[in-house]
Amino acid sequence: MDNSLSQGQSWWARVFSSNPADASAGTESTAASAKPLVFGLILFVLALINALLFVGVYLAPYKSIQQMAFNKSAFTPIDSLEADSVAISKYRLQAAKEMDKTSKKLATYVPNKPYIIINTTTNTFKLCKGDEVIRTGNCSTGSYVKLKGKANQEWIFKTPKGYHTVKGRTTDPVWKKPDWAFVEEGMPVPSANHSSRFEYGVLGEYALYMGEGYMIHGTLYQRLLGLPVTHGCIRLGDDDLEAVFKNLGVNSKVFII
Amino acid sequence: MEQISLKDKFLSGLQGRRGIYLLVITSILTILLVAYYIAVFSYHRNIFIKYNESVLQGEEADLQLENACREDTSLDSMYHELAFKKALLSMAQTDSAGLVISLPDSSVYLQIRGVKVFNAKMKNVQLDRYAGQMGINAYLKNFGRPAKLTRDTCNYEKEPLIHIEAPDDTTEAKSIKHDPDTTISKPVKIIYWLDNDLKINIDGVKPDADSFWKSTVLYLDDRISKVHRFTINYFTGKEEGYTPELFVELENKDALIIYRALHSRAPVVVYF
Repeated sequence: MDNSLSQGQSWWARVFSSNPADASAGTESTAASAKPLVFGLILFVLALINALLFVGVYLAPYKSIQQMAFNKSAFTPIDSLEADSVAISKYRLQAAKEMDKTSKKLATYVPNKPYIIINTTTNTFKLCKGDEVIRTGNCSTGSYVKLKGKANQEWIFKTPKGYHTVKGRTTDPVWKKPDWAFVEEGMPVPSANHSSRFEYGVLGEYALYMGEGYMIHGTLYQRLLGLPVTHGCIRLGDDDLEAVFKNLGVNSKVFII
Repeated sequence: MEQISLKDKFLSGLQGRRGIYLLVITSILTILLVAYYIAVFSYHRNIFIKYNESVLQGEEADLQLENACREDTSLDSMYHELAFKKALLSMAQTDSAGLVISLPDSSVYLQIRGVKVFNAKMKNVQLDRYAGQMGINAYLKNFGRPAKLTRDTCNYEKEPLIHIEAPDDTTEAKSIKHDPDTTISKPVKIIYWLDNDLKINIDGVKPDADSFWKSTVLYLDDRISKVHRFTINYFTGKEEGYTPELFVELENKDALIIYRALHSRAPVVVYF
């Protein structure tokens, strides 16, 4: 095929021609070589659309909150009813009234007396009053050890989560060792009021009772603060214990998470 | 030997019949994908509209309020906030920890008896695109009260128990050592199913994580399975109910604190 004929052919005819000579004619000049480039570009754009659609199918059913508007475009107003400005004002007023009432009720739940929050995952505590944090620090909570005794007894050493109150408080507490303390040490369990059950000075200077044998108290093992090592009680360092004891009275709230 | 550049190779590859085949294949693929895209979206949209309409047909539906909220988006937002506060008030009666997810202020917190006992900032959050378009009646019905957890899964144990047999004597007791393992090595992955049909995915990430791409990869599995399910349902004509879905990214430690603090039927309040 001669060159003049080749130049007279349309670009498409040359590009899609099965004759390599026709095709190569298209690459001889710069202008002609730009045409396959355009063709390549079309293919690239189509491929890009495909890729975006493919990615879009997987990503588009979700929308980030930043992009999310309360768009009601999926619906049209219900024909039989018309939302006039009077109805909107009525609902607005009603909502404002209820909002105020609900907010006031909610505010009454925040204690105005000091309370403590114990975090058993991080083994930390927060002493608070209202919305203000008075003191934070490390503590030790339940170890999650499950001790199996010889007589099919079982104990799980975990700190009870949820809402509690201080049921009693004392200085220089004495620890009355429960059965598990002897079982854990491989010792025979003594009678209920045997003298070996009473230990002095191991609970620190103060203790706050939460009921069912659980206490907030001090410890001889200060280096273990911040770790889950207790039998369910909450251990605090000396200074923290003093601050907590001074701030929390009987009926003070204890929140354990 | 003559050097052939990559560009020339590419251009010569497009010439002849190969070029036309490539163009035809790409065009067909584009048309198919567009059709697929439209089909999946219309299916998803239709099940959502049916879900919303079914609430409106209920006896308790306030159609006038529905219309007023459709007309006035600020009124709609006001009712969302009111529903949230009422749900919080209802949750304040419980003695155990409840979960609160507030999208407007990007926070996830635990509440016991009305007191915020733990607060975590979201690293990223995504809500399925239709939940934001939910009518006020459907919103109030599902989110105007604390929902209850019905099921959960997590790749960490809720109670990391250490089993110990009682020692025979004091010598054996001294030899028993159990070092507490407090490390949080792998990313926390939690899925909660609630009784109001909401599915919440909470993923733990490192504090310095670049959330967009990481979350995209994290959620990809779920998205792929969802799109595949939609596709199968679309072609087999199977009807499926709408399940609102929420994805939240938190710092690893915060995600674990939340998982361990909640019991199996804990109340959950979601505000968006």
